[in-house]
Amino acid sequence: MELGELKSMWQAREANLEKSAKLNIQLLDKIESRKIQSILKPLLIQNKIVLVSHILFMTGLFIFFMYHITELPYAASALVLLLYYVYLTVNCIQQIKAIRNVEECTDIVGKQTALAELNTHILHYPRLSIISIPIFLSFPVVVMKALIDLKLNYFNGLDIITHTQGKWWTVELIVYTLFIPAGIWFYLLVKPSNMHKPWVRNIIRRVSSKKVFKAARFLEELQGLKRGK
Amino acid sequence: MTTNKETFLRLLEEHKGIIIKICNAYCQAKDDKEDLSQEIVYNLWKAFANYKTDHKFSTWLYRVALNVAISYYRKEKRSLQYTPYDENLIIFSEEGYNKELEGNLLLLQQFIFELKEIDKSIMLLYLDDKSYHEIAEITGISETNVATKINRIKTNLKAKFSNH
Repeated sequence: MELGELKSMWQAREANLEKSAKLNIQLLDKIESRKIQSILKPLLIQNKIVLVSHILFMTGLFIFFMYHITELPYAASALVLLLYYVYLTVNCIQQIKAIRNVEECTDIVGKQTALAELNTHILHYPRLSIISIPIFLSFPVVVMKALIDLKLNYFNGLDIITHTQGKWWTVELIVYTLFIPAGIWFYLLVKPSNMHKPWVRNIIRRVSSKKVFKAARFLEELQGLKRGK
Repeated sequence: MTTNKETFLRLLEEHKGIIIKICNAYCQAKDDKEDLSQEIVYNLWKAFANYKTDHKFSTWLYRVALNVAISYYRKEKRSLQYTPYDENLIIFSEEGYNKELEGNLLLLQQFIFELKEIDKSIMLLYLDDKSYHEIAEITGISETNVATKINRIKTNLKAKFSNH
């Protein structure tokens, strides 16, 4: 059978179905015109709060960095934390953008991509697992020194760098050298668009729920559609 | 009744066929079709305030309705976002849906059901005689990619029919 003929038959059938279906006008009339709250609004508010807190924390880190710029262990620890928080802030802005795209984007691929991005957002945390290791080491250095600077006696004035006679800083340097490049490599590779690689697919499958895994596969499919695959 | 609602109802009545086609393509059970139609109408009404007349109403309706259908289809537990009433917004004719399809149409319907979500929407738009430009506008894929997709779908369809 020719495709054109099949298409005409399909259209005729659809027209028949349309005739037999009725619109329940009375029920439609009951639909209230009240403004319906978006289910994404709480998520948007939560992200805005996180964004503000990140900006405040980054400001503090920048002041600390400038204050200790000549003291390498403190400056380096603050810089590592600052860069990490810059990334988290960018990520937060991207999520706000994705939420807005869900509301504003009307074409199918745009809206479905935004929805899939929101559903797979949780994948950022396992992706950041390796690069977070240096952060754990930098955090006490900055926090303890900042508390001393602010004359707040929370850890009995303990400064982890001087207390460990520089050993902590040596460990930090080793961890930075090993884990920052490895963490960046891991983060850039383990993402939905690389799910065609079996090991990436396996990692994503292991660290995510069925729903997130499905969304990641769909995101990969949508990205393929945009590229014309 | 507000003028806005009157306009919405008039446009919906004129274009209800699109909703029916989409429900038919994305759901097999009558209950699912009714739930999906309700979800689509609810979302259309919610988005109607943002409808800009620089686009054809049918294009806008296709965009909203297909997005709802794809999201609904992808949900594991299909629950409605908003279920205000027990009645249905679109009353599907039992007779119309239970009618046995003839061989080729049945095969086409099966083919559509087996397609991936986005391919299904492209196929529906193609069957509705939409131009590549309009399909690209609704889906958000470039016209070249739409043409490639449709050619692939047509090849698969021909293969399905020749194997049958």
